[in-house]
Amino acid sequence: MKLEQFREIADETLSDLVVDERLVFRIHRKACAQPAKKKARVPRAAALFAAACAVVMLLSGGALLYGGGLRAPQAGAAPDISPLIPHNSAVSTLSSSVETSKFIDGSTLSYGVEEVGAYSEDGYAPARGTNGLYGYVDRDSVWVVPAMYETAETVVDGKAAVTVQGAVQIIDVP
Amino acid sequence: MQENGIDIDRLVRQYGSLVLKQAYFYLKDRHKAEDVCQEVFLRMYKKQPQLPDEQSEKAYLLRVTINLCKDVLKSAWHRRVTPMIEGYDAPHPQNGPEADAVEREEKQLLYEAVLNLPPIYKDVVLLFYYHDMPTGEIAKVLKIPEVTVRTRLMRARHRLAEALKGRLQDET
Repeated sequence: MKLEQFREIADETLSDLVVDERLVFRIHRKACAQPAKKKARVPRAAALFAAACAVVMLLSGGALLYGGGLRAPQAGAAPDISPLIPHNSAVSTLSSSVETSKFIDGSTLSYGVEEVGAYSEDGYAPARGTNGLYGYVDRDSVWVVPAMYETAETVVDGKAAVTVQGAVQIIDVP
Repeated sequence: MQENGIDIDRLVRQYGSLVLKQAYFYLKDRHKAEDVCQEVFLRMYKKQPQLPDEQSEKAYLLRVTINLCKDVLKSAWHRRVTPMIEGYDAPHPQNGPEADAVEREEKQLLYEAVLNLPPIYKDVVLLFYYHDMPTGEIAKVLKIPEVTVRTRLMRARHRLAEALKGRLQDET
């Protein structure tokens, strides 16, 4: 028996000790909830820039509209409001056919929204992802809780019952 | 989640299992290992260290994992609750049942002997034999001189040889 065998023995013994999707999302959510130091500065600068842009647009837009220089957005065309969007409320680009979708912090998830349940008063609904698991989406169909549960009940007072590995848990939504 | 320069999802997927196992070697408890694993990546996300290559990323993650595990081991709760080590149970269909049993027992002994080493020896043995790190790299991870790494490795081998009562072959 050699000490070099330790790696092989340990890997066989701990073969089922792997990072599963649940742990990945747990870390992802915690990281979203506790943004890095650098992150806090970017939205503030962006918000100031957006506010400045909004003021300039309001002031100049009125004059241009009066002179006929700026056309109103055509019906059906999405207005470009991206500089005014808060950093934590990503605009939905989802449909039931897409395979990727957005998370509340703007990052992408590798699955889309397949089916959405009943919305609560808070504006959140349980939804089934194309990965077959359940999470919660807001009214823009942006995931606020990643699809990682076997079942997900309707949100009541910001809380919801979900099932993880057969066990029911109460979670906060979002 | 890459807007801050660190792609935390990629790091978790690439190094998650490695960090989880390293934490388990110290804590011998899955749930505690998962908690430490989570904390390791969150700290990395918060600190945003400048790591030029994958080798640096791995070294950083292992260093933070080892330090956090030692903090947990020092905590009052952990000192009162002793976890059980999971047994070795790999099948060996090519051998007879007796040879199988002997081999399994020897592997179990080696596994437990390494996990029961004092932390200063376990650090170097795990990094050298499990993570295949050269002694120079281990010295950087543990922030100790390279000669100390070699000394600890030698002493760790002696301790293991004593614990395994001659079953361990001298390989280096």
